[in-house]
Amino acid sequence: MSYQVVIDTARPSLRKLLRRVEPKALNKIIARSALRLTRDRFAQVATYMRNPWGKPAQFWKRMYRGSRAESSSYSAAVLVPREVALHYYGGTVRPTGGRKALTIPANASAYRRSAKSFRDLVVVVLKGRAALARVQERKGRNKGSDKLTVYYWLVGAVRMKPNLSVLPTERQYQAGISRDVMDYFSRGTPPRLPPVG
Amino acid sequence: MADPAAIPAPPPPPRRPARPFIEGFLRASSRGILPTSLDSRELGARLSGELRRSSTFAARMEIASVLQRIRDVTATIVQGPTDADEAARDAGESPLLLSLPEAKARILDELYRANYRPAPDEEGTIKDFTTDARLDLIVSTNEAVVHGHGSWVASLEPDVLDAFPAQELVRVSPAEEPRNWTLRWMMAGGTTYGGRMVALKGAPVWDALGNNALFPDALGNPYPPFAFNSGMDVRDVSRAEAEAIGLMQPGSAAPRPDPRALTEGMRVQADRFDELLAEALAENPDIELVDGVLRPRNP
Repeated sequence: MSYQVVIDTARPSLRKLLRRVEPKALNKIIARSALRLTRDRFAQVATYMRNPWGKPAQFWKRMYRGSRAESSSYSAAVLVPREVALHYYGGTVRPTGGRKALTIPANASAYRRSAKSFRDLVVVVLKGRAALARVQERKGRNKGSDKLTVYYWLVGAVRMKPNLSVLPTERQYQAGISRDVMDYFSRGTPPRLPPVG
Repeated sequence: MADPAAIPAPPPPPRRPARPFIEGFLRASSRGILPTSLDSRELGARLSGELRRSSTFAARMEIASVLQRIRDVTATIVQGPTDADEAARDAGESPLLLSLPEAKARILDELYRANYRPAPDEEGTIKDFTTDARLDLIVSTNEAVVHGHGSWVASLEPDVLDAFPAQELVRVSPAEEPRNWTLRWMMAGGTTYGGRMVALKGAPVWDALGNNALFPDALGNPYPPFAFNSGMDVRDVSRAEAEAIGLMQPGSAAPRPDPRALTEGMRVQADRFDELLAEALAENPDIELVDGVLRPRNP
């Protein structure tokens, strides 16, 4: 994603100032502004995204904290964790590492938990669907029959649709960054400048 | 906000080289290992914030190999994928990223390998390291603290301080049972501006929010997360905003960078661990290091 920052250089004072400002410092501010916009969006998404059991998902909090600004004398960027890309662009998730199936949590106890951490799940097939379940012998008057609790559904792939709302639009980035840069250059106190000479 | 239904899906992104977060990896992997039999309260009271930030530890976890595993999975998660990880994913050998569930499973494997046993009265509780709740807390907190430290250092760079001299305490994730952060803010000495919890970076309120003596569930850091399982974080506030709400006078200088941001850089942390531990032992004669484990001193 790229964007342009349009800075109004009509005022002679601003033109004079811009000639002296280091691109590195300007890009740092641009990156920081973009980071704030990105994080604001993640916090907003977190307010309405829920896990399948209606509980607040922790995912967007992790994305908020894992995002960072990077800049140099020739560029400014926001780096977000890679997982955001799957939500934004969509895609197909397939098993890797020799595994033949993905494990999709089937109850709240399995959420955010690896199947192998249970250590006592077995593969079952229920109405044509493969699953990992715990099989427990019933007690009392039901003794002799087994209680089956499904923890994960086993699937070959999961397709995620793109969701552009997880990031600000280009127009929103441009507007927000331009505002922060103009505020920075229009204030009463001059910004940090490199030594003259 | 864009309507996803109205806009066609963007093309898949071009393949770019992996951008591992090397700085974060080094920050996480350079922390010293501190096995201890002390509980959270005792650790908060006896260890300096700098020592805690320089260490990988967990309340009442005495097994060094488990702490080593915690440190390693944290560093891997924070780092993100490398070129080698991408090659392994393309070859079908392993997933690209270390997921949270897999990270917890790796720590659980080490707990079983090391024959960890919870105390009988703690089995199945949050104090039992083999429970998912405890493992989730460990991995989530360690990841968040490493990221928090990096964000804190970056926010105190002089150019950033100049443009964004303040920050606001905001909720970034809903909580089922939220703490009263406005009350905490006031207890920490903060001032609200139209209900907003805003302060200059480096203001005492940020240290106070993470102070164990004030809040028993605090993590001891001047940056978020300030407490266990917290959905609060900070958001930059520009100079224009700070002046508009009355936090700064127009024309006033930007706050000075916190010197700890320089002295607690990742390299220095690794070098200082032994020194900081020695200081803690000297200042707290009621604790001692026995066979590499920090314990209460036997009377």
